[in-house]
Formats: sequence, C-alpha cells, structure tokens
Amino acid sequence: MQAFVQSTGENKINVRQICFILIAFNVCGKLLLFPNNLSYYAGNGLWLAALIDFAVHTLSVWAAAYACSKSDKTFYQRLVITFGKVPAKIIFSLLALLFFAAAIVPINEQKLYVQEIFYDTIPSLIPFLPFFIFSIYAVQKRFSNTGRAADICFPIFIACFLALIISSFTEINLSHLLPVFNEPINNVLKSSLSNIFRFNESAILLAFMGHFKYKKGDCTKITLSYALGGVLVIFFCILFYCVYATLSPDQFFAVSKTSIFFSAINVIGRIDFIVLYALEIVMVFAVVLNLQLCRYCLEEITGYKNSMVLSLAINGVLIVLTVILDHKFGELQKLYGGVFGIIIFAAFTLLPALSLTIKKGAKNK
Amino acid sequence: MANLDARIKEVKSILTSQDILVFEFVSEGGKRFAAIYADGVADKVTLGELVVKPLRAVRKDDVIKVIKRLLASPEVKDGKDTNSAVEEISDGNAALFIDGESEFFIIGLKKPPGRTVAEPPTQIAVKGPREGFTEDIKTNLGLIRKRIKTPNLQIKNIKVGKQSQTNVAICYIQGICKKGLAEKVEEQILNKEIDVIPDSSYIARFLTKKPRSLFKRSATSEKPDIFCAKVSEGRVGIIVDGSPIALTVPYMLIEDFQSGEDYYIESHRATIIRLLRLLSLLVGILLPAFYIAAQLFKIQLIPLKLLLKISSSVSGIPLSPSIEMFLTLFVLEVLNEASIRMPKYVGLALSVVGALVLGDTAVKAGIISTPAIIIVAFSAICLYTVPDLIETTTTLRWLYLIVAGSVGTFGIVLLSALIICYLISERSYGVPLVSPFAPLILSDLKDGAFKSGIFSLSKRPKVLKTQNKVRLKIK
Repeated sequence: MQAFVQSTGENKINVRQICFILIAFNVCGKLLLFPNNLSYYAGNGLWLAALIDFAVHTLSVWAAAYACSKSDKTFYQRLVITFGKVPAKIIFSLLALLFFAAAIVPINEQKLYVQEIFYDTIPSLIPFLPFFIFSIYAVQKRFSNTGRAADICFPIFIACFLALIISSFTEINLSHLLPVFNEPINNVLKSSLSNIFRFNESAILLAFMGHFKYKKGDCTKITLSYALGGVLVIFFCILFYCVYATLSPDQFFAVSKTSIFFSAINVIGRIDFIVLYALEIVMVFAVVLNLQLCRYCLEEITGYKNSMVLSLAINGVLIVLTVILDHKFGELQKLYGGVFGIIIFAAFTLLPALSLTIKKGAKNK
Repeated sequence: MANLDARIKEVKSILTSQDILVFEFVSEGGKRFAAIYADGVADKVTLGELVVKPLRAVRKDDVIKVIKRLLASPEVKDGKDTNSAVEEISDGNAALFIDGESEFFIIGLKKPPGRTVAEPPTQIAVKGPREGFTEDIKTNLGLIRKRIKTPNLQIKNIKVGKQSQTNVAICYIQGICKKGLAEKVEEQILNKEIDVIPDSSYIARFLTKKPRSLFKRSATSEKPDIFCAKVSEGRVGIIVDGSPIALTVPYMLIEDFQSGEDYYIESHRATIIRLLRLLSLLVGILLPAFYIAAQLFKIQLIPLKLLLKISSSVSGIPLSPSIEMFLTLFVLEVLNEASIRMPKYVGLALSVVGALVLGDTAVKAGIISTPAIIIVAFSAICLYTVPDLIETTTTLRWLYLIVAGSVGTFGIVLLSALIICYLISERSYGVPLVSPFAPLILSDLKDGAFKSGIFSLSKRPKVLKTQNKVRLKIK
C-alpha cells in the first residue's frame, strides 16, 4: 500500500486541470466527425442527439466525481480493498482495454483529418506516423504532466474555438433548425447511440481518483465543467448545421468547414488554417490522454514502473492497428457505432456506478 | 620561533613561479619582515602605504599583537598555515611573515587588472540604470551591496576549479529566499570537479541536471539592477570571478521575455512589448518553416495575390524550396558568425559584401528567390527581440525547418506539441520551467505574459515559495 501512496505523490493533478481537460480535451475530441455523424441520422435534431449523449454522460461524470469525494484512495486501491487483488487486477485490465479501445477511433479520425487538412493532396499513411513519436513520448509522462498540458492547452483551445465560432457566424442560417422536432425521436436516439462510444470522461475521472486533493464543491465544479464542454459541443453542432443544413452529413471534419466562408479569407488567405493548426496541438494531447490512462492502468496491474517500455508497447500495437485499419475507417465506424460502441459506453458508465458502491478505505495520513 | 628565511623558502618551494615576489624589509627597530605576493594582481601601492610604512616603527622586542595594531590596512586576517598562505597569495593577497614569529598575517591587497563599470553591450536600456557587471567579483559584489543594503543579504564565497581556484559568490536574502535553496545551489556547484572555470557559463552547466538540454536552467544578467531585483524576489544569485555575466536560479522561461526596462516604463506599454516579443519569437522560429511547408504541402496557406508574387519570384529557381531556405539560412548563420569573430573594420566590409553582393547577386542570378531572403532576414530580426534565448531559438528554427521540409505543417504541429510536452515536465530547482502558465498560477501571471502596475505586484512570485511573501505594503 505504501507504494501506492508514493506513486500518487509523483502523479498529482489538480481539480482546475481536470476541469480544463473536461472542457478542452472533451470538446476537441468531438469536433471532427461527431457533428456530421450525428446529422446523418438526426438531421436538424443533431443537437438533441448530442444533448442526450451529454446528459446521460454528465450523470456518469457526476457519479465518478462524487465517488472521488468519498475517499483519498485511488480507484485501484479501493478495488483492492473491496474485492482483493485479483478481481481488482481484472477490473483494471478491463479498464486498460477500454481506454485502448477508446483511443482507436480518435487516432484514425486524426489520421484522416491530418491527411485532409495538412496536405493539398491526400498522402499515404506515412506522414501521419510521426504522430506516434509524440505519442510515445507523451504517453510515458505522469498525470502532473497531463495536468500541465491541460493548463497550456486550455487558453489555446479557448482562443481557437472563439476564432472559429466568430468566423463561422457570417454564413449561419438559424431557420435550418426549424421545425425543432422535425426528425422522429427514433432517428435522434439512433444517432445518439451510434456516437455514444465517444463518451468516456467518467472513466478518465476514475483514473484520476486519489491523484488529486478533493475539496468541498469540487464535485460540482467537475460536473459543471463537463456540462460546459457539452454545451460548447452542442453549440458547435448547431452552428455547423446552420451553415450546411442537409449537406452536413457529407461535410467531414466539421471544425475545418464552418469558417471557410469567412470574408477575411478572400482577402488574406486561409488564415483559419493557422487556428486549426493551433487547435491540432490541443487535439493531439486530447488523443493521447486515453493512451496515457491505458499505460497508467497497466502500470498499476503489473507494478512495472518503466513507463517508457509500456508506452512503446502500447504505441507499437496501435501503429500496427493503424496500418491494418488504413482505408478501413468506414468499417471501424460501423463497429463502434453498433453494439461494440454500446458495450464500451456501458462499461465506461458501469465503472463509475461501481465506484459509488465500493469501500472507501482508511484515510491516507 | 620561526626563522623568516625558512618560512620564505617553504612558501617559495610551493609557489615556484617567478611572478611570486618576496619583499623583505626591516623596521627602524631592527625587526625583519617579508611580504609575499603575486605580481600584477596585488596592489603594491597599498602594500607600501598601509603595511610597510606603519611597520617602520616596530621595535625589535614588540610582540605580535602590537605589530597587528600598527598595520593600517583594513583587511588583515590571521594566517592559518602555509597552504592557506599559498591560496591567499594566488588569489592576489599578500602574506606577511615576521622574523621570529610563528604567526603571520594575510593582507587584503587584491586588485586585479580590469575594466571599469560600463553599460553592458548585451542589455542596453533606454530608461533605467546603465551600470553593468565587470569581470571583477569584488566590483560586482560592491554593485550589489550598493543596491541591497539589508543585513539579511548573505554572500557565500566558495572556490571552484582545481587549477583556477575561481571565486564564486552565492548571494541570497535570508528570510526571503526559500530555505535550503542556497545550500542546494552550493552543493550542485561543489560536487563537480573541474580544472578551470573561465566563465559563469561553466557554472550554469553545473546548476542543471540536464546540461545537454536545449533549454537553459539558469537566467543570466549583466545588469546589477536586474540581478538585485531577482535576488530580492527570492532567487539565488551566483557571481563568478572573471565573468561579467551573473546567474540566477530558479529560472523560468518567461524571465527571458522580461526586460529591465519593462519595470521602468508604463505597464500597458510593457505588456504590449512583451506580447510583441512573444509573437516575434514565434514568427522568427516558425516563419521559414511555414513558408516551405506551404510551398511543398499546403499551398492554400498563402493568400492568392501573395502566391502569384511568390510563384513569379520562385519560377526559374533551380533549388527546391527547402534546399533554398536551408541555403539562405546557412548563409545567414555564416555571416552572423563571421561578423562576430572578425575585426571591427573587416566586419563592416563583410556586412556590405554579405548584404549587397551575396544577397543581391544571388537573387539576380536566380539562385535564391527574393521571398526566401526576406523571410530569413525577418526571422533573424524577430529572434533578436529575445536575445537571451537566441542559442535555443536558432537551433529550434533549424529543427522546424527540417520537420517542415519533410512532414509539412503536421510536422510543425507535432514538434510544437513535443516541445510543449517536454517543457512542461522540466524544472529548475523545483520551479516548473513554464510557470506561471503550467501549472497555472493566476497571481504570478501579473508579471508573466502581461505586466501589471507596481501596486498589483505587491507579492513575490508564488511559484518561488519564498519565506516572506509580501514585497510591497502600502501604509
């Protein structure tokens, strides 16, 4: 148990940084294909579908934040105290797998986004592979580093997001959203379900459990931050649909599409690219977060502290998967948009619920 | 009772060099003395006026206490043993031996040749003090004492360098500086054994655990006003004999974006200048990289009219954009290096040759395009807005150029993320390198990217964990 206490000491994050993660990283992960995927089934009800996803997951985030308030032990320590070592290891292995699985789609999304936005002609997979150099380096870093990355990324995110929103305003037509409940509820629900695999923030909180000093009111702060992130995503979805209307499902990488009608672009060129590139810095940090958490889970399970080796192993598998899945993004999306995605979401939702029931353990001195 | 000749012989057997002089003299009462000193470092006039002259009155049977009282020099210490005498003589002081006495005195006569206090060439200020440090540690410590008169100012003298025995002074203010920090700095310096310390940059390497890092871990200053301001904020300052550049730790990256003048002008103007420096630095590092990445991978980055201009300039250029940019940057670096090293008069001619002949002819000959020269020149100017980071930023510019030429803009983004990831995990004596941005410390931001007025800066930087937090009280 002493080892746990020592490891959390090096692995500290604070509530402000968690809130920044829940806003910046959360939103950045949902700006690429999430809006146009939602509009595929839900049409102008995409914001309703997003609202359902966020509402459900906000409850899950609240549960995880509430569980964090109950004890200063890490989730793994609490699992060990409640169920014993072997069951705890099994649950944490599952969590590691979930984090890994949750990283596959965003990385492949990133690959396609990079190929479209960063190059004039769609290149091969090769130019994307240097991403894994960054990933290997970032994944081995501790939570304190993740928190500081959030500190740096948050103002970049806010500035870029605002710039994109402002430059998108010129082309919006709010009447595209009318009538509000145009789409049948089934379509909206189908849209919600097919994108629910993107929601794993409550599990991120579970991983941070015991690694931050909980103070009164932090549960509310965390939940509200997540909800704010949700509001920003929903707002962006509305904006996106107001620009493209029924063309939305075909407009991939929404974040790069909404501002192209900005009048200044005609005069001074695609300045929105500078904003998109700055936002990409936040996105790469957001994408590697799941892998960092996967490495953390593996570290806890195995007790193996050489984080570089674990990072190399995780990224190695991911590189192989990325190469295999090249040109198969459609199939991947179908898989995650179906039962597999629901299973992932269910697991990510059940774990916070489980965290509410397990023992708190004695307070650390 | 020690024989004077034997004592002289003992010292001279160790200090065999011919510049170690022995001045023997006899008082009117017949007492024999010998002053041993290093020629050129010790002040002979002071020796004559404050030591030899007063000792003329010594009688043969005067005891050591009486002799000491007669010495007019303000800097007299009792000598310990021959080794300490040797050390002091090498340092520029004199050892005074008395015939028939086992005890001896060390007389402070150190006056090494050096320049006078002048405005430092690297930190010129339009407003504010113009004094700069010199190569003499005593002068430098005097400049500090002139500004910080509190009895809490502590100066710890240590010697570093097996051969050079360089004097290094560790300065801090007791009661403000974090407890144990000065000791940690001292330990870091003393646990390295080196032959010679020619400059404070050697000590700067000792102060970091990662001496090969691209980013430094200690701040440098040539101006006593900046040095004192940093010490009074709770930092530890290090002055090295023979170097006009003083060091301070802990170091934060933002320090290099702050200039002394920022504190002497209006805060809103200082804020604008700081943001300008930050922007210039980004432009200086990234502009050449973006230029070639845009040409090679993402032509849409360039506005249409500008693109037409560029395309007319680059048409007919036999080199690829990246090779062209590499070549232009290479020429710039060569010109820069040569103009620093060459004698002044040749340097002037060289800049004419470089700017006019090389640049103009290369463009006319169609080897290099005009935009490439404009971009490289502008980038070089931009980087010099933050001169203290120039070593790092020029290297980064090369790195970005390589990445942009091979991976394009995505490479630029990835390298930026990698640098951010590296910087946020680095520390200087427990202080994160990129604080107050990561971890975000709102109160310290007042003197970060923007500069608040003096009344808003009533507290010392939180990140330094000083003992005394308040620096300004309004009564």
